[in-house]
Amino acid sequence: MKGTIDDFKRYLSMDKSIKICILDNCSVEFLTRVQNEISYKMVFASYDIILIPQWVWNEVTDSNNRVNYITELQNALERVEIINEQDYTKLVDYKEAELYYLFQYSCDYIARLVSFMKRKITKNRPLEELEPYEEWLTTFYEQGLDGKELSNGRKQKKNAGEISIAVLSHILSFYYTELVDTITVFSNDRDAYEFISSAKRKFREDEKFKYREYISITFKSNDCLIYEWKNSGYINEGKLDAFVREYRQMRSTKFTRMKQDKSVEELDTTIDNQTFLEFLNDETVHIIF
Amino acid sequence: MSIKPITKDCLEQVMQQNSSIKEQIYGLVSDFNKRFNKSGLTAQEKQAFSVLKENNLIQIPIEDEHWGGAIIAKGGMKIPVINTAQPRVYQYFVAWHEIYHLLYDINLDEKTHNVAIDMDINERKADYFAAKMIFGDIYKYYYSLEDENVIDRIIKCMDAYKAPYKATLIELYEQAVEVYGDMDLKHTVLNHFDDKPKNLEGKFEGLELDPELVRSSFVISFGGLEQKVKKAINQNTGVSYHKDNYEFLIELKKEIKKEWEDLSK
Repeated sequence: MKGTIDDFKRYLSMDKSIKICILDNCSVEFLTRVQNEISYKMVFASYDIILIPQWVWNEVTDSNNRVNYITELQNALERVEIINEQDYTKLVDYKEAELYYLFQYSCDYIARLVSFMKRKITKNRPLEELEPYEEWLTTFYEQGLDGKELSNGRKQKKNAGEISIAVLSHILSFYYTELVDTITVFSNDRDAYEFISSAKRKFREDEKFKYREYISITFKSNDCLIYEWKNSGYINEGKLDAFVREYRQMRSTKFTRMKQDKSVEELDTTIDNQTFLEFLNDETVHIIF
Repeated sequence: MSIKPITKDCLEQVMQQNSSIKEQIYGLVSDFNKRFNKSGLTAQEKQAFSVLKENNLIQIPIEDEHWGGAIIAKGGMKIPVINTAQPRVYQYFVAWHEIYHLLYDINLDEKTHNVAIDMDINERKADYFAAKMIFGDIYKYYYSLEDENVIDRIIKCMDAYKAPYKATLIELYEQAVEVYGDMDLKHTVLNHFDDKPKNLEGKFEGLELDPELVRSSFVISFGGLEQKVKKAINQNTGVSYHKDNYEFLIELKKEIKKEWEDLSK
């Protein structure tokens, strides 16, 4: 990390509308694989700053290729920041009860974690009696999330990265509305998309958050990136077929399709590479995730 | 629903309350039979559980002899819960009691229905609805029995209608007093009301009745949630949390089962 969290906050409070990209490990992996054809300049030109939560960074470090890619990015771009989850409290000006809700709502889909938070974090007490953020956050990541030890000795924690991304994106969305222009999450992991979407629904139902201004959080999955690169001419038409077959797998894709009467159909279905290639030339289709 | 400590001293008050809600509850019984009993089920307890299961009934043994069940209202959903550590007869009564709250209770909003106040009119309505769904002409049935011992007759009524001891006596009392003016039976009921037999299982066996009715079932069921999560796993291959939730559910089920096995050792 180049600067401290205070530097980062100062940067956010500069008088401009900041375009933020939050990177997930799976997207870094994808970008390292395509980097000979798609340079980082093509990928990140629209963003002022690239953020990587600490738990995502831990995953990145399992691969030298990924570390090299990010190091290169840090050297070339002015702002690539690794944000420690312990610093999230500074980002919300120590509103720790609210931060608790950001975590709780981001975990809403994982029954095991919902149960863990009730039993071990809040212990059914009012939030005013919550332990200091640094303490319960450690309990949350170390005891709450399922983990296994990798061959390199690192303790991998399931969904840690996605939850960190979800909380960070919502912090920026709610607490920096005047300063931030866009928040885009680069992830190909459906869990990350679902965690952020389900939290959004919970915030809309919660009196504490529902009337607040917020910045929308958008996504770029690998499919979205390929679509963008194709339209920007970064991938030569003649090589498109080979590119898709080399770098894309069949996956569940969320998209819209405009019908003949201009109404829009929302779909969420498994798309193979052949169909995806057809999508790339179909102007009625827009990929959401 | 907590099982109410109705005693013979407040039986008259119960009758007065029943009388004030009688018309409304008979209307609801008729409405229920028209609208919800479409599967042609004849066993009353199967009927009740069938309706509750359509509403994601959770069945779980809870170590609390006073807690029979509840409706949990959350996020626009109303989910019934039955304590399967209770003897089956209580479960059947609680099932009908909760059906009242589920289908007809306008007081049930975004809060868990878990009222323990004795003689609360809303609770009385639920109990009265349950009684009217369970009992037929118990007065005639009672007199058709040839046993000399009153307790034996009551137990045979419990068996015939699959109803708890006190609920059986309350119904018998109401019919004896209000329909037949049978003062002898009234006093008989009063004399036995607070003397529920200690060893009901033994009594059932002694009368060559199936004692399962007065035993717990210990069923553990999460309202079809397992099937729903399984379906979600198959439909959403890109997400991992459905699989996690499924595993969590199975673990939870195992834990509850193990806890009860340990308790019963």
